[in-house]
Amino acid sequence: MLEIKNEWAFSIPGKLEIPYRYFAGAFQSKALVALRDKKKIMGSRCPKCRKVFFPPRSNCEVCLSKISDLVEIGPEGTLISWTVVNYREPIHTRRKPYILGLIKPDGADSAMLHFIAGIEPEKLKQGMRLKPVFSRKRAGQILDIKHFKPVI
Amino acid sequence: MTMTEETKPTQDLIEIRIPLSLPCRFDTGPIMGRFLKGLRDEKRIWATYCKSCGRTMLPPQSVCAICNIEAAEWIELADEGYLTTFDVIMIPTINPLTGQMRKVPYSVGRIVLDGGDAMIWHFLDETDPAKLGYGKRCKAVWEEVRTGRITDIRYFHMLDEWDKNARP
Repeated sequence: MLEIKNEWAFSIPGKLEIPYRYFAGAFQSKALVALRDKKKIMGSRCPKCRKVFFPPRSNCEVCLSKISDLVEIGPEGTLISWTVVNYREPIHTRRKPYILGLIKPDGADSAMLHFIAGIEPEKLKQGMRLKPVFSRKRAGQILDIKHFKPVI
Repeated sequence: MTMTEETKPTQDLIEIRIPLSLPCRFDTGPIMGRFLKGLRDEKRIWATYCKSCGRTMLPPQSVCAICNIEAAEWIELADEGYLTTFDVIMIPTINPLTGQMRKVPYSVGRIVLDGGDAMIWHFLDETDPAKLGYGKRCKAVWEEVRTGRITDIRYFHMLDEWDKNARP
């Protein structure tokens, strides 16, 4: 049998430094600019199957047609589902516990994932009406919406 | 339009930059721990060999991957050996440990260490492909400050000799 001593084990800290860059492209940039400059949430509407998606993509994920229409959706939406996150990694932007929810904006056929704040998790109900709270400093990304909160 | 004329973009194109800095932790366990502490504290290369088939395993393991039995024993390997295959890299890529572009050219090689048939991949200090070849002898250059990582060996220094027993 191989000689093994438990005291040989130890822990090595490490780090990954990955300079991540995402290029939104010509179509999606239009929607992100509208979010940044006008606080409008835009979805892409398929000309063939008439479904509206968020985030907007230039190809329909249902029928694979090319999409060139952006339509305004929301700003309010309906709560579809949620989860409460009870742990924190250094990469996370929010302290635990925080709520991640799937919100279907009015006029869209898909739900978007975002934070939910301003309500205790126990009080959440499926079908609740929520509205976005926008960040003061916006750069053309999903976190230009800070989180969603209940419509009182 | 010539290359020197300034062109204004007709549309605002969004680029999202998120520098991901992910702290991580590797818990070695006793076997990998002995190997890495050997590099850090003693400049020794610990490996195991399988009593059943004779294979040397580097990093050390207690179960032979070919025989699937626990018949390993410790063996110490030398910090020198001979080069087998190698690459001289000319195109820079991002080093995920630092987030910086690697400096090119740089060389990596597969070295069979004296004492067993195990091989180790590591950097080489020679970037001229004409001076590298199968069977060329090389020796590890150790860092002064070692932390228990494979980079405690900075690189393998190429020697001017050829191994007598290297089998291509």
